[in-house]
Amino acid sequence: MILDVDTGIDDAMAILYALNRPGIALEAVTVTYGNIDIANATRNTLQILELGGRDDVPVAAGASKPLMKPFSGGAPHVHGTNGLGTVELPAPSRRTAEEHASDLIIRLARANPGQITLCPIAPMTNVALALVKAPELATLLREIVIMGGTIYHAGIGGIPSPIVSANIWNDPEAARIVLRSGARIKLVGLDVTMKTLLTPGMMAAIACGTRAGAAMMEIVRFYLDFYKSVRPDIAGCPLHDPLAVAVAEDPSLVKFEPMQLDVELAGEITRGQLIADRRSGVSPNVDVAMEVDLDRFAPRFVEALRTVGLT
Amino acid sequence: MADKVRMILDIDTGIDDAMAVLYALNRPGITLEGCTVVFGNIDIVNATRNTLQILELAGRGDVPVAVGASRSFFKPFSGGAPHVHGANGLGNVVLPTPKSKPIDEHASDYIIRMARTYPGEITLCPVGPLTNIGLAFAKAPEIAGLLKEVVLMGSTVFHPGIPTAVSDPNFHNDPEAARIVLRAGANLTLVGMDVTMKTLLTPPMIAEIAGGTKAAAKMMEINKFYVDFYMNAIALAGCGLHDPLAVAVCEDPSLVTVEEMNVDMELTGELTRGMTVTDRRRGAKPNAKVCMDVDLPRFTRRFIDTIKTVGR
Repeated sequence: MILDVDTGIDDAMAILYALNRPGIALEAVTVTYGNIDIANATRNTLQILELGGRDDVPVAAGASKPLMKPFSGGAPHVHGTNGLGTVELPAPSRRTAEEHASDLIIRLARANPGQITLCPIAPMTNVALALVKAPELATLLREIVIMGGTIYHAGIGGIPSPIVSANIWNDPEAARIVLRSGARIKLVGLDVTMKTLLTPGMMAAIACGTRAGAAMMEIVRFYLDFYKSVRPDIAGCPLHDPLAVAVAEDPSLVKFEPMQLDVELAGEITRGQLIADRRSGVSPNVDVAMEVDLDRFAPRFVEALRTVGLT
Repeated sequence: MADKVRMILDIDTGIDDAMAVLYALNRPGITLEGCTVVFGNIDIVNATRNTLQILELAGRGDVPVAVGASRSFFKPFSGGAPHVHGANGLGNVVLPTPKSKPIDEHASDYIIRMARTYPGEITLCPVGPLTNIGLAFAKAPEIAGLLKEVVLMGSTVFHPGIPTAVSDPNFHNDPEAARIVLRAGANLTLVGMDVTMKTLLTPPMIAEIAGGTKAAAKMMEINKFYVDFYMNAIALAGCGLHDPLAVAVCEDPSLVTVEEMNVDMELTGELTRGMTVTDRRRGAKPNAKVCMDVDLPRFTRRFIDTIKTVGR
């Protein structure tokens, strides 16, 4: 797996999950802007990998802004001003690779044809750059498992389009490039992630585990508080990014519906929206996760985070 | 006992429009005050003549008919759907030349006049592109509050669309007019593809209606073209009763279940022009009741019984 992140609190949990699952070899982490600016996201990524005891995993920084627009400031009200819930971890002991994120993706895919699963859990700017530079990437990658998008679930507040998700909203042009690339794609969007909650009970179980698990739960408090304030009706905070990583290892955790998906770019109230053509006779290009097996995912998640960093 | 619904039916006759007219004429709970005509399924000239002919077929040439828009706000008329409704809009069946004529007034002015004359009493039932309604609301915005309600055939929220993946034919034919109507503040109900694609008229139902009055039998003869399209070109078990369902809901809203939603119309999207966009986020203010499910056995039986006795 190559994980493309904008760390980010749920990205941090996704990294720790990926490190501690027997079915995943985290080959590299590529970083983009999104939840927070690229500098914070990069530092956070290095820190979380060290927290998980894996400072051997290469990290390459990538895009600092969407393809067509300036960086819009991220979501500090969700992830904290430093992207890790204002918790301060020790300064990272290493630096990122010299290579741009998009070039690392191309290089590893060429070196390991058919074997790399690319898991973007951030705006897809790095992935789009890679695909435009090396279109054969679409067939070299084993598959792309995206965290983002929504088909039916109402989207996020504060923006004109009412049915979008943050990752696609942040760079719709990049999303279109990925969806039309011809790659094998799975989409893990809000229709499943808004049901996949980290509850106070799960947090308590993880906090009793390793030092890394406990530190992660301290970071998560800011994210949980945000969700409590805007969605008091839901019993925790959604595990968007960890679910995508989990599905990349074990697709049986969700039920997929094949759809022909594109992204609207020009609409006044639909820019950034995933548009599904569900008419008969239309050939699908994405497997979209529509249901999730919470009974199997929740304990697996707790166990992975509770024991992360144990050597 | 509820008051009769005083209805203005805005139509692009059209085969299912014709069935909607006959249904409205023969329901005890509906008074068909007038028909306003718009382009859509067919051009305005054919649609107007068809409307006069269908009224006379049922023995109701006294119902006023007002001619309206021949083209949408943005586009010239582009040919309609002769593959669905026939070259003349009535399945290529030729009815007698109408004896009556349309009134002098433009459809949009007729709507404005009726709304002002009978405040709070008129139910407007548009079952074609919304051009006439858009014109009326733009000219006289206050009528949105004077109409008792607007129950229109249009929209799709979840059902795959026609002719694009995400829009229905009526809204797609004039998205600018649809946006005017959606944002006008009227008491609005959307009878869309989420319910109308479930209301199919099947061959056994057609046979039962054809055994009724002369008008009923003639309507089923006209309907053959429409049924052929649905069963052969798109492989459904019958033809869609889109427009009749909207009329039925005006008289009896209990035929459907609705969800209150905030609904808007996309105008500039490359893939989404004509799309009904629902804002279902917390805090979004609903502006329409959107039909989500329909009581099929009750509607079907009522439709058959109403059409097979029309013109008696």
